[in-house]
Amino acid sequence: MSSKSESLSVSAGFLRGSSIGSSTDKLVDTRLVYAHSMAAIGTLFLAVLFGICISLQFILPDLVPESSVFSWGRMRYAHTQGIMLGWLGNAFLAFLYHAVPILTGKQVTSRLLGRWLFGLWNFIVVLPGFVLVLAGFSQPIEWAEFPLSIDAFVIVGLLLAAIQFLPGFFRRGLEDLYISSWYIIGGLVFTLLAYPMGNIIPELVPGAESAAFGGLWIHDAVGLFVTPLALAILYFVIPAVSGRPIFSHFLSIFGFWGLFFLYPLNGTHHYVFSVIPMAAQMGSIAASALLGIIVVIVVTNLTLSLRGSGLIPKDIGLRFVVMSIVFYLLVSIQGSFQAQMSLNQAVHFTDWVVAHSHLAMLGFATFAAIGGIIHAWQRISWARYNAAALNWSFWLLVVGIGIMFIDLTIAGIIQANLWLSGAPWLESVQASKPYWFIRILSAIPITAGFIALFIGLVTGPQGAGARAIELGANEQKATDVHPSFASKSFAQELGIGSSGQVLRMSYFAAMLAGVGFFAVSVILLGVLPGKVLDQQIALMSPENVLKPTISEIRGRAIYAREGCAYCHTQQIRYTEADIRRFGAPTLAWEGQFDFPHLWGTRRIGPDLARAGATRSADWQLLHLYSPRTVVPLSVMPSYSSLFDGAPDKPKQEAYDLLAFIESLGRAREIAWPDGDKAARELVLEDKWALMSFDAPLLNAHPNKTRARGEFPDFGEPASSEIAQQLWLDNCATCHGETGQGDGLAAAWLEPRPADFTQYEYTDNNIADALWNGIDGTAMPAWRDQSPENLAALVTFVQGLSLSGTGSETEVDSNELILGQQVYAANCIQCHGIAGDGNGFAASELDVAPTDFRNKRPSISQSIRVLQNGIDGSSMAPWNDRLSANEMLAVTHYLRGFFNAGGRNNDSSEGVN
Amino acid sequence: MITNVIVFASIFLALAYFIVWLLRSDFREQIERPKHHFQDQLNEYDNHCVEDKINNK
Repeated sequence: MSSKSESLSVSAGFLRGSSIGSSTDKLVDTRLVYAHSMAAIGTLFLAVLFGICISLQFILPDLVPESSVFSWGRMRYAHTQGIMLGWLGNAFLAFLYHAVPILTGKQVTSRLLGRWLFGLWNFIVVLPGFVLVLAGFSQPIEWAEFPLSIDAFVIVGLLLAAIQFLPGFFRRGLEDLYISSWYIIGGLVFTLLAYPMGNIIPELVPGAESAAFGGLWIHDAVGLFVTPLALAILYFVIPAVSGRPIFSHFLSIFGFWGLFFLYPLNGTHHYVFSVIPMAAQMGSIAASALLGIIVVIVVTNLTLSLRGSGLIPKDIGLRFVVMSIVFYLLVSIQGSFQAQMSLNQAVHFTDWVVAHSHLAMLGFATFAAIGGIIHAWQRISWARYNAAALNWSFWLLVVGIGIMFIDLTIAGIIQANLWLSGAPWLESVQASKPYWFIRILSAIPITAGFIALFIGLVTGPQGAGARAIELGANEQKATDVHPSFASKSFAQELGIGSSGQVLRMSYFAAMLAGVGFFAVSVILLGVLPGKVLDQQIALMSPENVLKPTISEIRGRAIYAREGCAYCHTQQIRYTEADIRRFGAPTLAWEGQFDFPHLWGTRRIGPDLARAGATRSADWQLLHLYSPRTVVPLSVMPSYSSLFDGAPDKPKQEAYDLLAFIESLGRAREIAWPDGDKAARELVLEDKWALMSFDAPLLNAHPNKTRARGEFPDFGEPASSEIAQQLWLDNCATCHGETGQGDGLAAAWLEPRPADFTQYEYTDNNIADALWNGIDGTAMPAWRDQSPENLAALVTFVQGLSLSGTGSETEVDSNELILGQQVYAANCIQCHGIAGDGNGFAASELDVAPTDFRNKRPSISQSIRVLQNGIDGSSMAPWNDRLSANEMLAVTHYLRGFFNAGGRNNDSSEGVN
Repeated sequence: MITNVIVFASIFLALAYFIVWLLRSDFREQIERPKHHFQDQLNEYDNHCVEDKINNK
């Protein structure tokens, strides 16, 4: 008798020899199946609750206004880790307690160890992980957000799982290792290798190198942990329910090795068009395409194994498994395509990718996990089982996930189109809102489906699940009976002793190959690119790059803690759209002090790689405190917990965060252009580096202020209705609805926003301000608006002026002479002889003096400014130096500079 | 270079596996054997699950 047959006999004998009524329980520890299943569903509810909260905040950004514990970023961290470690981790463990004893014919290593593992996984990893992340202890690495202290226990947990489940395979003998066993062994061993690599190494290496390892882990988490264990379930449940062996074990082994070879090599496709060496990017893109082929083979094999079961099998567990296969095919083909550069440059960072990841984790993996749990549940003689509720669960989840996937995919395409078009960022946010709302609605059937799942497992008669097994037993049995095993073994033909010897050799070789594949992925996509990046840094980095200050380091930690990188990338990609919108692509040396990287993989807000010097400090603080006070259409959460009740009362944390934001892009800004020129000469052969060096602008942010004077002809204006809407959406929060400079934000900005009712402006003055912004103030540029929109705004702003309407009086020549004397004595230093704001002191001032040729104050406004000065600018009060007559006289004089019809754009015009 | 390594290694491994399968009938039988044995184990286990239920009634 072969050792295989002996093993089978042991299994059967074990079962037969057990006491009546508990024989299956003796082989399978059903209590641990039950416990992990319940823990899985409990943590699933928590993770889904976090997910719903963060998706609600896209529509209701102030849902949790004052809390830092439940801030968007922290809940986002808890959401993904909850799904991966809490839900799927527990669900897979539950299934392993059912499957491994059947696969090996032996109990797991120790029931006591099982209880320790359960406790460790749930009460030292998952729950403390949630608590710590919400309390602000985390690491900003995607799919690795629990802090390092928790990571250590995850590794211990994985080790315990390996000790618990793997020895059975080796004790039983490896002669007939079924494909599910391969996946279980592979999943546990390679997760043990990949987890420390993905969770620890990104903390130790800087910037792009850190991203290279982070990218590896993002894919390894799915490819080496989730996918193998989900596929183990699919390959287990299908023959168990259909009563027939799978179609081809050859193809399943082919798929196994294909997946384990190629999955880890996909990692860098998360950073296509980044500074990570193109050789690594291309390698990952090729591996992604090949992986798609492998998945088609795997799915074909699974589908052929299902023949006769129908698309919607009667067995509910199998039904979940079938849908998991459908999702697996969809998500894998989608993944292969979206890794290709032509599609990637458009959809990367959009909701397309969010749809993709939900289809992977909530579709493929979750359906497999539920299928596995239900299958095991049916075989627990004492467990309750409510088939009707589980049936509801299936349909609700299919509908919910279907809606979410389609909805977010469409949203991603819309976002991609708007980003490529160069439209204002907020247009993509506005266009996304209906889809974000539908995503929230999709949470209703999804949540209801999970509730129905819970009901299905805790209600109904005890042991009712066994009916499903009886039904399955009545199904047509396998027609392909056992083949007569070859009389002469393969090993014998090879002349290598017994088959046991060659199998031991082959498994040893397989183990080496598996570890080798993982090592190859780390070397090809982590270590080698890291070396190249190190060389790039050495070659291109300017000398004595400014290191981050203590405050900036603290600010970075806050940025990481709050999950800012999950909405704002910090990498300008090597694409035309990014160069046009954000500026020169990110070079490796720019992130040489970033441990770990904060590149991000999603853009809900704009990229922040060059955020420094793009906005004024008062704007940034107000934006952090109350984003919609300055950007009404923004969906950014408020970070008011960083302040003492008002935007002008920042706590130290707000100052630190501001310091960090203002440092973004600073090193390159200092190097540009001389440092860049020197580096450029050294890399003339590197077309990607040249793409960065030759970008027209280092910081192309459309809202960044520039020196005034140059602006295009806007042409014909859009309609007044459009202008009115633009005003309300973009200008009214600062300047007020009627343009009196009294918007919500006005009180917190220095200098205050202009009161347009009290001035007359030339066309050119407004056009100049709209195109270039006003340096030293919170007034940004609006270069992302279309020319016709800008032209319409020029007309609209001019229409706000009440100045000069009926208030003009005759001015006698003596008064004008007095005014000229006062002006010459007190004003020309800043405002210039010609009133053009170009006096000899003007260039030294943070806020440029007013160019009176293009901007004429009303008499009352001019007197007010002379009496009070302008806070936040160099314009001082003149109360104690000028009499009322002198103020009036100089007012009349300076109003005479105004040249309503001329294009006076040769000065830098300000507010005072 | 990395792309070449990945593509050629994939093709080589796949072809080698396929050729052995094509040429060796005993390999074909051997590699399919686990699914049949697993099926026996599943059936055995499920029969006992049903027996458990009957015995518990």
